[in-house]
Amino acid sequence: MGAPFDYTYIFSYFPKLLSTLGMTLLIVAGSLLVGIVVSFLIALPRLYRIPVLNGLARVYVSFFRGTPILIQLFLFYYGLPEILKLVQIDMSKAPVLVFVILTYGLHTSAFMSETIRASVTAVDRGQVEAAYAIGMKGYQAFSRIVLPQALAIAVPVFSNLVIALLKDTSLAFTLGVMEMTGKADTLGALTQHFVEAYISLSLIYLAVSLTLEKLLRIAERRLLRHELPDPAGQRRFRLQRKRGYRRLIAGIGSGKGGAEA
Amino acid sequence: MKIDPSFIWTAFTQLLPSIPTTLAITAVSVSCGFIIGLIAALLRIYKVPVLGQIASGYVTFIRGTPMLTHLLLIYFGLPMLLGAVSAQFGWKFQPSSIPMIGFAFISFSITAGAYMSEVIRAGLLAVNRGQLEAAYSIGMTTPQALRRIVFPQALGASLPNLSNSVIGMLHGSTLAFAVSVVEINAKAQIVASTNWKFFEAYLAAAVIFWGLTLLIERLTAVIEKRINMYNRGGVA
Repeated sequence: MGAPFDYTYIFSYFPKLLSTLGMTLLIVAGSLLVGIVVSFLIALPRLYRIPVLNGLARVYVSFFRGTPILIQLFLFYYGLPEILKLVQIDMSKAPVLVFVILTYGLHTSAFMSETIRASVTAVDRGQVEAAYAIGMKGYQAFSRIVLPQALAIAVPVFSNLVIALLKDTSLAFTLGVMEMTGKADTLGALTQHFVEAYISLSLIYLAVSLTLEKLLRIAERRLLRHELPDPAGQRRFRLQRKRGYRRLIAGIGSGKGGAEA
Repeated sequence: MKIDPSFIWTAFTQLLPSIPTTLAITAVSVSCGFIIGLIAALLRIYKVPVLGQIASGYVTFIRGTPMLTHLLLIYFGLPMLLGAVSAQFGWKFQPSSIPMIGFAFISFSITAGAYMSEVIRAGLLAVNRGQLEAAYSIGMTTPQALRRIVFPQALGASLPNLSNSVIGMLHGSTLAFAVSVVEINAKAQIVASTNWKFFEAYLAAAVIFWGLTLLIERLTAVIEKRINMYNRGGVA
């Protein structure tokens, strides 16, 4: 099967694959944007227990977490134009990329909304009460007190989600989007050096996910600034809080624990 | 092209026979992955010199790359490797005799192993160190203490994550279409393109996967309740 192994191809494929890295990152960034907006819309009704919407949000999350992303991709690609045709919107001319970003966005939003819910719930209730006590309104208390703390709690889980999303984008080629995996497929078929193409591909994915992980760890440290520099006398106290924080994170998880894609 | 609701049911009945293939891939990859993961986790926890580092590298690599690339690497690389080895030693083994589903089994087990090792490691580390010390103090050997004291408690602690991994592998099994194994997703593709009714076929597939996922979640909840019985607190 294929031509004999020749490691020089691995290096010669790097620049060719890197030229499509932009497309992969575009899908990741676009779906993150969609995902963040939608996940707030999903998480808020569940946090404030708004009657009907709460149930709908629960079904939404259950569906997107309960079906494989590959099936969702096809479902949206073929189904969305049909459904929108019923309300007189023509999507037959829309580029595939729109469907891909939309599907990945909605898929991530389900996982992200769970993360948001868990991290907002994890912020000490006393914090909100203290905010109310000094006269803040509901929205002020949320945006100034709860959100920054919840964000710091959410970042490690969020980082896992971003990396999972990056890996999931390798499926976009099934709809014909020319991102890295699709490119590797083409290169392999062209030269019959499949193994080299995929080794090169996986090395790039590895480098990108390690970089993303490192960047998000820096972000986490910045968001936790308020926890770190402590007067010397309180050091013991701080240590305990740190450990509590770590244990908290371990307990949250997004549910995206599997090896999907 | 219009949506044909009755075809969803037709597609659903046509997809049912391919459920066992999906479940077989999931079951094999989860159980082999569990063994690989357990070994990798123990190697890392006990910081076994060279092997521990290899295990860490394996976990990092697998978790940093898409599952699809593992499958493709195994699919194209393994026959090449085996072919070279068997030619070297003059074996009669033919790499082309490996069935397609074998590649899915091998590659998904390797993938699952890395994710499982993280889950198992977290579970083992969650067990209080005093438990192990207490076991030693009444004279248990390390394997005994691990088997009788640590593993049962670690299982309870890591059950939610294990269930997520199983669901992840169930969803990941859809990738087997890439090596032409006909599981639910590939079957949906066939049903869709022979009848030119894509949306309906994939909707049926989505419903099946949703049902299977909910089933796994329900089962986990039941097992979790049983396994954590020792831990319910209170008096009785």
